Amino acid sequence: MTLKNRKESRREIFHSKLGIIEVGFSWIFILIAGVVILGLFIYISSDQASFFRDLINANLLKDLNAIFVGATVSKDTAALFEIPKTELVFDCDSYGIGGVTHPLTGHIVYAPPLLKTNELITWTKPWSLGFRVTNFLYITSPFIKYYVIYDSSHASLAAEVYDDLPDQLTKEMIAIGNADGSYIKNQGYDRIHVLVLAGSTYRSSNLPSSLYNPNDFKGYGNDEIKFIMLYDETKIADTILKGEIVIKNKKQEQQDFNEDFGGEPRLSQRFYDFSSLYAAFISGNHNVWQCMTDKSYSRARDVASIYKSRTQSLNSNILFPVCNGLYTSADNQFTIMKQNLGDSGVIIKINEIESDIILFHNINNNLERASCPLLY
Amino acid sequence: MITLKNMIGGNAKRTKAQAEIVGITIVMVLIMLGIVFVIKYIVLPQDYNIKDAYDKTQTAANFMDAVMKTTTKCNTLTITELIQDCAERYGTEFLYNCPEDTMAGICPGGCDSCTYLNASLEHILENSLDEMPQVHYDLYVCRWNHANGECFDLVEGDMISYFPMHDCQDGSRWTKGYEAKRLAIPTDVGNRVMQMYIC
Amino acid sequence: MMETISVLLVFLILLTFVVIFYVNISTSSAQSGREDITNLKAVEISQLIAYMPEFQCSSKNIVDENCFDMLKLEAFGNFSITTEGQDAIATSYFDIFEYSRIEVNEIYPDSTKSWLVYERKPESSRVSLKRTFIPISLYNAYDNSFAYGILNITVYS
Repeated sequence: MTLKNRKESRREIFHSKLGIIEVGFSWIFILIAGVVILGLFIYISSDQASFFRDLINANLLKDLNAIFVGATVSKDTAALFEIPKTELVFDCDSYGIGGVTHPLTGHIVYAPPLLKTNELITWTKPWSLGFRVTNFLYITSPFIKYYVIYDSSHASLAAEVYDDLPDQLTKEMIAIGNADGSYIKNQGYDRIHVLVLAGSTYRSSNLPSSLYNPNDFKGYGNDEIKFIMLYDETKIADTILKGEIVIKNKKQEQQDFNEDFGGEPRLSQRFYDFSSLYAAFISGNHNVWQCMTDKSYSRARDVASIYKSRTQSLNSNILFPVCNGLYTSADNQFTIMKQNLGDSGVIIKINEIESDIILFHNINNNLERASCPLLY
Repeated sequence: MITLKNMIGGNAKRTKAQAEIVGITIVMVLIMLGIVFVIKYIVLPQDYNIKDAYDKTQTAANFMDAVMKTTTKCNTLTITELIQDCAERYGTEFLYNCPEDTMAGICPGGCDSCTYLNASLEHILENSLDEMPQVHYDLYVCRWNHANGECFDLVEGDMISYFPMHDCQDGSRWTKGYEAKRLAIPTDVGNRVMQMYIC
Repeated sequence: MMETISVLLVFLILLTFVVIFYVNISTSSAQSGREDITNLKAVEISQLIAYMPEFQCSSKNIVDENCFDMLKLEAFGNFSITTEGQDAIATSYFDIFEYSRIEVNEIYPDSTKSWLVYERKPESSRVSLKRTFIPISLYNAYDNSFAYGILNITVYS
């Protein structure tokens, strides 16, 4: 082999070794670049996925808000809406889906704390303390079962309540003597709300234990079965229902059943108007019911101020002694009502509001008889 | 010269060219997708505007409800009562005599109910709907011909009021989408209607 | 090697163009969404205010649709200048009306009457407006008469 040939063969070997080294580095480079690019795309796609999930939830909440506004302004109407299957969470100030929330923006909304549904039922009823204060918006789903259970002395009230409830609701009316396991069965609903219209004679032992029998309803959590008890109800000013409400969960009702109502006394809450009763029944949630009720009394304070000012204007401009006497009484009564309603969301004298309602009702009737412009 | 080596080399070149074409095709497909994307989101017309649709529907319905109840200064008659008087006593000496409304500048020196009605409607329209640039309307108060869905205007007294803007129509053809609302007014000489088109 | 690098370079350039394009699309989509929200808010306010008993005409709680009571409008004006009223407007009424201006003007028979019901402007200097005009009836309880008016709603965003 000549020197030239030896050099050439050495060069070939060197280049071939270079080729081996370069191929190795090339693969390493490809791997690194590939991992970086793949990682970038995976990161972008997962980030965008969660962003768009939130965006979809936010858009759905925006659309729901428009539905709720439309429902709120249409009093005494009920509607069933289909929505994407979702879990809606309600509290005192907002509602939300998947961590994205939307404020309730001044609406008075009563709903169970969690709705897992693809159908929403909205229902609106006006709430009044003599004069109309606001509309209550109730939101629920067909997957919640509503029982109205009554004794013989409350049959007509039960019929009135049951007929008033919208047909879209999954509802059933049962006489207390029949409220046993053959009527009240586990039918796979998400929640069960039971309105008991049996007054002060009601004892938990009268209601058979089907609803908290561990074997019958063992799949239900304590807060998934709610009992709404009505006590001391009467009608004032012809149409306004007044009474006391207690909201109990499954465990509390079970305790009362076991202790035959001799156990821990349950705090009751005074309410006015059928709308408040429905609010407790539909939502079955004491915290939401309490906080929305506080908001509605705060709204009542503002409306009372406006009616008071309006009454003063009427008194100054309608110079007819019969009318003026009635307007003066009404003006004084509005002042008293505002004191009873209290300041800053704290209701001081809720029981005294009853006499305000009755007086306004009588004054308005007298104004109508005297052909004077009405208070409301 | 055709040799096995040349054939193999030729195939390799053709294969390389095919790979290039595949690459170009993929790029072309991506560009087409991009163009479709651009057209969908930028070039195509805007989506339905809820506010404009709501404004049109509400304006027609609310206008007629509000106007019909309005109490005029012609002996505190409402617009509805003026329409009824005009329809029932048109062309007779028994038409209501209305005093001048100095505040609105209507009916100087006094006039009959038909003239007062038209002047009131004109005043209301000029100071409300005419000031809304997005609102175009036609308003009629007339005896309605249910056969052809239009006002009778052949006989005097059948067409009481007529306020066309004609911005919605080209001759008799509707050039734009419109909302229509009709209210019936009972009179002793048959129903009259207030018909409004808003586009 | 160089070929791979150049391919990656071209790929990155294309990716940059795609990202810029996507950002532009997202920005215009967000602006359009913001306008939709403002439009929807204007519609909501006009629906909500028409049902509020603070303004609505009623007789023994039977409501007259599309009608505002003049005495209630005046009373709301008087209420809004009291301490209690200012608190209410800053809290519960702000929840309903947010940043907007609500005015009622009588057109006929007395075009001099008007009522500024509510106004709250955002603090930002860059504000866009959406205006809605709705014909309404105005009830005068003194003489049981109705006037024709316009409800002007301006939503700020």
